[in-house]
This record gives sequence, C-alpha cells and structure tokens, in this order.
Amino acid sequence: MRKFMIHGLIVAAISSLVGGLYLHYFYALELDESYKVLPIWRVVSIYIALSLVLSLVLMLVSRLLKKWGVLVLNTLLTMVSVASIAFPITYINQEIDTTFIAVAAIPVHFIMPIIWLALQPLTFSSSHEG
Amino acid sequence: MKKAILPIVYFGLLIASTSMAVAPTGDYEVAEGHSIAFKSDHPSGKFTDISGDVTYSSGSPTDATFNLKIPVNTISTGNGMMNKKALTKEWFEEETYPNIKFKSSSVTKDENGDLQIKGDLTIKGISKEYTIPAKVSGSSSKYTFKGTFYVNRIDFKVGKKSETVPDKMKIVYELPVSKKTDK
Repeated sequence: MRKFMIHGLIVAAISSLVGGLYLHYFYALELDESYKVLPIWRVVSIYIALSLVLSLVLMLVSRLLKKWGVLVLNTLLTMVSVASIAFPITYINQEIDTTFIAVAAIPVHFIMPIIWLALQPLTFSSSHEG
Repeated sequence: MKKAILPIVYFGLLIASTSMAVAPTGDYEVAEGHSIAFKSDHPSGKFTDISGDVTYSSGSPTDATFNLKIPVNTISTGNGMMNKKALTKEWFEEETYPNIKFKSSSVTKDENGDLQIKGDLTIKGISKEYTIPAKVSGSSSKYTFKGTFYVNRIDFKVGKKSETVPDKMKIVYELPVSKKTDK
C-alpha cells in the first residue's frame, strides 16, 4: 500500500512540476489569452488527482491480476491519453488559437502518463508485491 | 503516528486535487465593449458602465447565472441637464439607490436556441421579475450576449406618468464577457 502511495505522490509531484513549468513558459510568450481557457492550477490539480487515483487502481489490479494488472492498466492509460486529444481538437474551429491547441493543449495530455510510465520501473524494481 | 502521515497526506491531497479538478468552469466578467441603451421617442440614452459576474458554459447553457450591476450615475442622454435630472429623487434617486441590479434565477432555451434569462431586476430599490432574451455568440474565452426587451419605468417609480415620456422603454444591450484571469 505504502509503495503505491509513494509512487502516486512522486508522479503527482513531478508531473505537476513539469506540466506547470511547461504551461508557465508557454503562457509567458503571451501568444493570446489561452491561459483563461486552460489555467495552470486546473492542469496541476488534474495531474495530482489522476496520479493518486491511478496509484490506488494500480494497487488493486496488481493484487487481482499480478503483473498482468500493471500491463493492462498501463495499456489502458496509454490508449486513453492518446484518445483524449480528440477533446482539444474539437475546439479548433471555435476561435481558439490553433497554436495553443497544438503546442499546449495536446501535449499536456501526455505529460502525466509519460512520467507515470517512466517512473514505474524504479518504483517496482525490487518486487511486484503489493 | 508516523505511519498515519502518509495516508493522511495522500488522501488529503486526493480530496483537495479532485475538488479543484472538477470545480465548475465558466466564470466570466463583463468585458470592454459593453453597451446598454434605452430608447423611446423621448428621451433616449445609454448607461456607459456595466459590471458583474457571469457563469456560462456552452455545454450547459441553462446552468448560466448572471449577476450584474449598472451604476445609475453613468447615464448619458446626450444632454447634461437631463443627465443630472435623471439622478434626482423623482427619477433614479441616485443618492439612495446608486445601482440598477439584475440577478438571474433561471435560464431556459427557446425554440430558436436563444436564452431566456429570468431574474430579478432591481431599480430604485424595487425588484420585479423579468425575462430577458439573449442571443449568444463567441467561444469559451469570450462570449457576447445581445438582446432587446422592454422595461416599464412606472413599475419602478422612475419618474411619473407623463404624456411626453413613455412608460415603456426599449432596452437594447450587448454584453461581452471574458474569462476571469486565474492563471
């Protein structure tokens, strides 16, 4: 339990930092007022909530399906994060700057899943026990 | 005790971040370019300032809320004497009632897709329920609400019955709203 919680907290912290800095520097370019549509605090709070919920789900699937659980969850996460870019794409014809959609709104869908996947070998390097 | 710290931090953070992540979006404030004009044979004019908050989401327009304020001393009839007279006790009584207010109570969509905003219009301390039509345009960073409706000034004791000034004034408004800055 403890291992999964720590994994969730570390992913939450790193993805919030990376996502927050990425958007901060993008908005500093002052291309438009996109930050009003997608404020940094919302992205960070979604990353934290997702990381923590996913780590609880990971704990459950690891216990139920052993190593297959991790595989199933990670595959699902990858598929959902790719599919979710359909959401910002639907805004292309709604007077929202396309640069914002291409450079900020779409990449933020991948930051947390990439960090989640990248840190898993470190967290579970010793064993797969729950 | 030490063992309890991690779950406390974990679940505390989970609750806080989830509530922030699902917090309602769509908070707007009145933006530049707004106008509210009153029209009749005599007099006609406008109020040059409107402020307030609007919540709106194109996905659920009937959940919209409007809380607006118009300072009566921003009245402009094109005649300085008339502007001063409009602020006197007989008309808007600006000293006691400095603002016209509108607070929505419910919003519906009509057959044309326009909004029908029902709420309390308060002028000179008197509140009456009005339904204000609004055409909506724009996107999630900036919306504009436009419409026309009639207000009976006698209902609000603004002036007295008169042969020269009609009871009903046509109100034409345009209300652009932009997302609140909350980086």
